[in-house]
Amino acid sequence: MNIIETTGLVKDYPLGKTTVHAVRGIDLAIAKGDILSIIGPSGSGKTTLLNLIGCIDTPTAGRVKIGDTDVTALDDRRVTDLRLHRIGFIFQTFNLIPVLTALENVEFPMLLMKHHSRAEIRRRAQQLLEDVGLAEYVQHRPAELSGGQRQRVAIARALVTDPDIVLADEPTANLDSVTGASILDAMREMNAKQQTTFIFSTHDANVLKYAKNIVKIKDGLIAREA
Amino acid sequence: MRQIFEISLRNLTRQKRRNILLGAAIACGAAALIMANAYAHGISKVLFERIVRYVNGHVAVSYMRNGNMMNQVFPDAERIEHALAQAGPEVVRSEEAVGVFGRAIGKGVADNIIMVGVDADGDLTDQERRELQSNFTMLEGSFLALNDRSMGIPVLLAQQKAKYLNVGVGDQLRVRFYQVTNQASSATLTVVGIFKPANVFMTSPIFLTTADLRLLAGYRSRDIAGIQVTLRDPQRTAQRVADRLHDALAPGLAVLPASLSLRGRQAPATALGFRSDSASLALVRPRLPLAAGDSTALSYRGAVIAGRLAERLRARPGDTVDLTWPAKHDGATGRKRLVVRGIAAPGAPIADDALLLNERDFYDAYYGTFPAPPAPATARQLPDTGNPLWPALAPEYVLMRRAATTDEYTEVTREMTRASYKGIMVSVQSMYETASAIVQLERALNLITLSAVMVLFFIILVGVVNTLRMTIRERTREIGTVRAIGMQQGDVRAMFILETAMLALIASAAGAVAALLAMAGLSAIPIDAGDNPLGMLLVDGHLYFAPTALAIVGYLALIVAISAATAYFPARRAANLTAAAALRHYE
Repeated sequence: MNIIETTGLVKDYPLGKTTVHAVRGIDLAIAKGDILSIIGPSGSGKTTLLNLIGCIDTPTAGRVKIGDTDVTALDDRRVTDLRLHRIGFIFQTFNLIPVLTALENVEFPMLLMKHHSRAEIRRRAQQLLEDVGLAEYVQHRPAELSGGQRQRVAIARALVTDPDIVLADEPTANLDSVTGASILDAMREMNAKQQTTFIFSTHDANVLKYAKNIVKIKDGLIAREA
Repeated sequence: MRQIFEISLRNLTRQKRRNILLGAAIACGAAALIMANAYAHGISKVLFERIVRYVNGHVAVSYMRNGNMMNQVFPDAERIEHALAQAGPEVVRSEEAVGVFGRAIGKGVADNIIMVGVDADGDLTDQERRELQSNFTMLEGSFLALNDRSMGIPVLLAQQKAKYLNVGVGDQLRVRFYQVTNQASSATLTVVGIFKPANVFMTSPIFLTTADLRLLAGYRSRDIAGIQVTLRDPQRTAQRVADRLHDALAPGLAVLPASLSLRGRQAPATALGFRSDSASLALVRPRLPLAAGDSTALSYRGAVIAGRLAERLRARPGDTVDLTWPAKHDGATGRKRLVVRGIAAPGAPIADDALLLNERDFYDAYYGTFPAPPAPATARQLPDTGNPLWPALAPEYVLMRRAATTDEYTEVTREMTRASYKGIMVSVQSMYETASAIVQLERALNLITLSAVMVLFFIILVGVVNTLRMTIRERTREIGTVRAIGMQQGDVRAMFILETAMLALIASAAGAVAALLAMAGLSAIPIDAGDNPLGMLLVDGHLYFAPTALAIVGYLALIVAISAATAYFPARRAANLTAAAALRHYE
């Protein structure tokens, strides 16, 4: 069963007087529980494709379906809700909220959901931080954590809402190889346990070892699927 | 919402220097606004509580007769006291306000004065005693010497007045004045004290005890002067009490239960007055047919008597009759000699024992010796509102309608003077109405201040907008992150607005504290205003600020609201960014 389907996906950006054709018609179907790696050179359209799949950007043409929902037909409020409830994000630069502690950063998406008790939220956030090996750092702010620790917090934050899909844009790009590997192990474990679909964009050949499927992008088009 | 609030609050600490500088600017604006408002309110309070209140009381009952506002006398104290008893529990005390204009002759110098009565030995509360003493800072002699009858008629003078009249303590002062009966009179007063006036309005009057001044001014024992009512929480209660007092003073029909005699014959009679203005006469003439006398009978001083009463006395037009009546007080008897001008025809709408007097004659008699109330049997026969003559019949007195503002009060007084009533006109006004010009002055000062400070705030708010734009620019990727995670546009907007509102609230609260400290400091500095009239705005030689919690909270709310409104547009721009565009942003 496909959790994500894209049909004729196109994304153009105006850049000064020219237009950048970042994605030029991508049809893609991703099965639930997959670990898909999107690879390709810089400027090939990986991040743009990830943004479109993650519903944080709107396509110039084409459709994105998450489960049975055609995302391109939804208004901003519903798309935001869909992101909150079904998609988790892990950013290359971690993107934690600097004024919140590690624990609060993880709690944050669940608080936005507004249908869990504070105790439940705290319990789940603490559990996830324990799972990623940060039980002792819950009260630390991002500035007080290393890069690897920050990325673990970001993973915990991405998983706290129990999403169907986790999108990770170059998740190991800012990490050393050992830390990167441990992060990827953690993700694979989550995938095995909860059937969470992981989609990475990466340059890193080590990351590919963890992928069940790989899509290569070149010049905004799928060059090869494996 | 709690999470958004916490994030906003913590974000405030991120750019400390920038936020402290902006907060300091807002605090300065808030402090300026609060201080200016407190000063304007202080001026108003000084004028009301220290000047208007002593001239007018919180609520005043005053009288006017024949257009003379100095004729502050009402012949039946009981009537006024009865109304005061119904004025309500807010009344702390009520006292007579006796003031008489005159001319004082000192040592070789004369000057115009107003003699004012004070209750030197009255039943005062501690606060009233303190206030009284703060108005009479004695330089020589003693305030309480006013009660010393061994010194003749004691008087207190302001130092300026004493200097001008060239008198000191122990010296005598000759005064000439008119009594309330318009009788010229004079008296010798003994200066027992010289005080430093608390304000410019205290320099002209000379102060005697109210009891002494009543005697000098010719008040009889049951006469009562204008009344000043002191209230608890006057700002809230004054108009309500004035309304209640006004209702309690609604006048009834003026009745003189009397006996009429002619050539040894005597008959009981009930004298009523009728108004002599042309509209009233036009109403009375066709409704009061005369069996004898002519149509001009009503226009002249004299009486029109009922047919039965004329029969019993065998009276004819042109006869002189004697009207006598028992006074309400002192067992005295009132007397009035009248010429019969007309005899009412049978069927006239008046009782068999009635005589109607032109209001000029009637009020002279009525107020001259205030009559005992009519016996119940007589009272039952009195005309009521259904009587065709009712609109023209003379009331006990004319109650002036209440006026909401200084201008309206002046207009009402002018109207009443134009109407040339011959009866006493009674007015009930609170000081906030009589002196509403002061309230307007305070409002105008506040408006000017607000306008000036708003210019300052406009500049500050440009700073708020710029700071917020800078903040949003710096946090664009963060906005992208929270939007990607699932924060709604409205929550992003709320986060930035809350951040600005909290900065404004904290800063303006700090400004309020600074303003309170500055006001305490400024009002501790002694200022010698000398003879400058602006000295009246000082209290005991110090600036007077009157901050109110309501005004402070109001201004704080205004500042927060303006800041939040200013933050709205940049915050909306931030919220409208798509997550992807915000995440792509680089400084």
